Amino acid sequence: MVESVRDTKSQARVVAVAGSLLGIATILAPSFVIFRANRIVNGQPASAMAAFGAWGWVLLGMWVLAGALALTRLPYKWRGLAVGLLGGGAAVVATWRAGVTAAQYFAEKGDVARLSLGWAFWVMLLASYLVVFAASAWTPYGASRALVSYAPAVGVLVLLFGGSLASISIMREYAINAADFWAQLRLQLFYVLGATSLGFLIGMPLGLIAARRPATEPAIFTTLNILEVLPVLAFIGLLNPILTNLSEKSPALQAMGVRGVGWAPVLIVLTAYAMYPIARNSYTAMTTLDPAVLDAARGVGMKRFRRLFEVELPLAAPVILAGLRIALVQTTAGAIIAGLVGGGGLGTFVFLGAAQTATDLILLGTIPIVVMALFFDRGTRMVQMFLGRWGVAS
Amino acid sequence: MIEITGLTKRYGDFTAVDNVSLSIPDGQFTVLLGPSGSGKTTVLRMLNRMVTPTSGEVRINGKDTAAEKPEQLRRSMGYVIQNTGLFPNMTVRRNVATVPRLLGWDRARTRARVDEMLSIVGLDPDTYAEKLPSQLSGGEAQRVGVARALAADPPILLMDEPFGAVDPITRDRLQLEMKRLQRQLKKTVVFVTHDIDEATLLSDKIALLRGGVLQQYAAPEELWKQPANEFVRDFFGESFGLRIMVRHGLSEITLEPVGEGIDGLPRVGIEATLKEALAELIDKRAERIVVVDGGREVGTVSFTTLMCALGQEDRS
Amino acid sequence: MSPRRHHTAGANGRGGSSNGHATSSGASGGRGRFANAVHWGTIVALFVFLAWMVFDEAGFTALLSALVPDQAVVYYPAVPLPTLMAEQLYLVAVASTIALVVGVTLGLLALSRVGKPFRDVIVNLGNLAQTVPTAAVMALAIPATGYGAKPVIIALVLYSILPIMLNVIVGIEGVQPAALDAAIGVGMSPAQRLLLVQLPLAFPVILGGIKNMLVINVSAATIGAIAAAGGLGQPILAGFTRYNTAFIIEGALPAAVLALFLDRLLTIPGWSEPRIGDV
Repeated sequence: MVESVRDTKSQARVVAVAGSLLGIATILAPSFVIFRANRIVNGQPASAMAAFGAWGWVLLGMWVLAGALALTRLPYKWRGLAVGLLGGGAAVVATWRAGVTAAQYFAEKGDVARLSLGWAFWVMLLASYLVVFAASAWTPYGASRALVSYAPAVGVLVLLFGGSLASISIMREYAINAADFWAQLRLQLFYVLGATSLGFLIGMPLGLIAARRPATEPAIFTTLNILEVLPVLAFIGLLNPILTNLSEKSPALQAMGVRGVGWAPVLIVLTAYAMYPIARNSYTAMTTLDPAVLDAARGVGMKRFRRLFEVELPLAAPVILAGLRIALVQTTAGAIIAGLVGGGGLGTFVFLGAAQTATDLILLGTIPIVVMALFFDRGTRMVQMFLGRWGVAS
Repeated sequence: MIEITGLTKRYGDFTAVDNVSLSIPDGQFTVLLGPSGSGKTTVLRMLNRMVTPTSGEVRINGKDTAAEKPEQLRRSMGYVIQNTGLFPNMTVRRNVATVPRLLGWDRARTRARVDEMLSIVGLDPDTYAEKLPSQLSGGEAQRVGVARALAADPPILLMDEPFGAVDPITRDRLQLEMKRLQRQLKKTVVFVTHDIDEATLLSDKIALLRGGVLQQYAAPEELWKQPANEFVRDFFGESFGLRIMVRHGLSEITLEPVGEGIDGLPRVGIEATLKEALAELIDKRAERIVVVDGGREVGTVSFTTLMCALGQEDRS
Repeated sequence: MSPRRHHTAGANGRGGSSNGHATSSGASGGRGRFANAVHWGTIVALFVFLAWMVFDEAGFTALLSALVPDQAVVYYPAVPLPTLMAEQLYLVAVASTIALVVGVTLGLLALSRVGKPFRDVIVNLGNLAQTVPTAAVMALAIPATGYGAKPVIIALVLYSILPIMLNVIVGIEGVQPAALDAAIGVGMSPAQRLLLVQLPLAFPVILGGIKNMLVINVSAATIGAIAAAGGLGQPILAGFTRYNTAFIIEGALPAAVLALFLDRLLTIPGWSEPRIGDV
């Protein structure tokens, strides 16, 4: 309604200013980057002002300007673009300078020296997020909003693939583990796509059956709920004897690598977890279809199967997709557990890093997981929006 | 007495209510009438400050409502809305007891009052008090809404299309109940509706709004005989006269003497409205009708007399 | 690590809301009573089973031997099971309490006048934060706080604030507008509205969030063994490294039953969870 749209835009101002102030604080805060003699010692923290020299002032200026512009009465579109690009740009510039400083440090101090990103850096990313979020409320839907929202990410990716970030500690870890990293990443994808696909193949039909025959609903969802509630490590643990047994008895399974530990229990567990949101949403989608539409379909003489595929499923698709989206994001994070039970994946770095108290190794495993999850989230949302044009009974 | 002076509400460029001024004496049933978007609900909600006016003021018994704490203001008014807004997590009894409890009444007094209010709206306390809103029909829920509004005996009652969400039969019944209630309690009521029949039946005076602007504020009879502009005349339409007949009863007009030849003529009770008398005449295709009071013939009315009755000065 | 339970009641990015729905109102009919009995019976059974496993060492050992016949040592020798269970419960209880308090506060703040501009950002951030695995947060906390219970509790708190906060926001926003309008209209102050109308009506959704949180925390606390925080994960991991299946089950079975018990305990029979995810 009229009032609430205006509200959002003026509320965005508060968020933008808050973000800018936070950004300023992080540039001045003591621990933006940390100079370490090697990867184990604690190292010397330094603020962005101290470490980046003149560029520290540039960053400070960007934040101040962003905050100032947010407070003006510029037309929304330009305000949004300016503030958004400044806030997002600050993140990119900071990352770039961190990379450059790291390279210098590296060159000076030798191979084992590390420049790590301090907590102030991560908080600054939060500040950028706040500012970009607010700015995107001001920009109209379309090119300008996309620019504001995605430019920082694109900027960082360009820096990443261009090599300017190569000397930052996390990337050093990557350099050491490069081949392994890609192998583990592939494994992570295998888990995510594999478990979600299986979860979909089993879960969606289950949801449809529960919708068609309400008598089966309690049984189906009670079982799925039990599976869902089981703690992950316990679930894997309980599968251990079963799989060990099966693998001993079947040379075929053994050849595939099915053992009590490893990829097999992890895949089974992840699939079980993925089934729940998919089944639940499939059920809800099918049971909340607009009865008028169904009636019309029956009225024109469509037979059962055609109705299902041509009317019901397309209408239910967005909701089912939402379930799939949840499953994808869950599984991306959940597959981390494979690293603990010999199943590989990016979790390997996380748990190794935990054992060695090497933060950068942990981050090497974590950041790609988060990026992957975001990617799946955005991607499926876009597909959802596209399908939603048919209108669904919400 | 409610004094509304220059009440205006703007949302950005859009003016919902434009400089409305009204004076509502105590005990009057005022209907805010108009098509959708005419601003009538907004005016109502500015009376209890659910909406803050852009300019203008509301004075109740001389006191500016802006000077009072909103919560206190609202506790002194009854408020009934279309979807009842009964609290689903409370029983009927607790719902009705809401304002008394907010005002700190003791348990005994509250309980007695709740039972009294339920009875007044036509619900048996023993049957209904412990029910949950989800267990009530639309009509029953609406009655509980009214009971809740009346519980603390507020002098002013605000009602926003309270009977809009129920079926026509229930709505008719509720309207008659409301009429009876008003006769009994004589509250100052401000009632929003878009239904002309409802407005005609219940109101003492109607404030007709259009696009936020007050078109005319008068009793239905005056709106009919002296419409302020073309919109008023067109809004009420040609059957307005007929509708107004429901407001007056046979007891208000001078009856003609009984006279000869009354056998075979239709009969109607003295408590009937003029509209009912007319309907009887049409139904029986008669020229004249006999009026009876408790079995005794007290007079007759001819078709012509009925027509002239409305033409006479305001008798209500 | 909790791979699932990321779905809070339909938290929407920009000021949307979803409506939970009660599928059965006042289940006092015959079928309702039966379902109720089954429900409570299950809870009691799970509790008894759990208590037995923890306290009847001889009995549980016998069960383990029966399940894993070819193991010599079936009972994890380093730490007795009651202690492990106590450690597990300690981690879950402390983290959950803190997360509950902070989560509800943040949720109410986001809905208040002061926090309103931040409501959308908070919800978005909350959903984003749930993509970070708990195990990773735990691992990252270790260099900062050392080994032991601390990093685990920190990770659990940080993680479980989110479902609570999001469910508080969505639950209260999902309250019928008519009821809220009436609450304002009868003259309730904001505090009265919250306590008498909004929170009671949002309660099922919030309870769902609490349930989620507890289940997540049990699962994550199990992984806390990597930080030497004790708990039921310890025998599980020991079992993996020493190829002792009995140890694994000794930890896994109680952990599973504990999670199921808490889940059933906090489920209102007949109330079905709102649709997952925002569409």
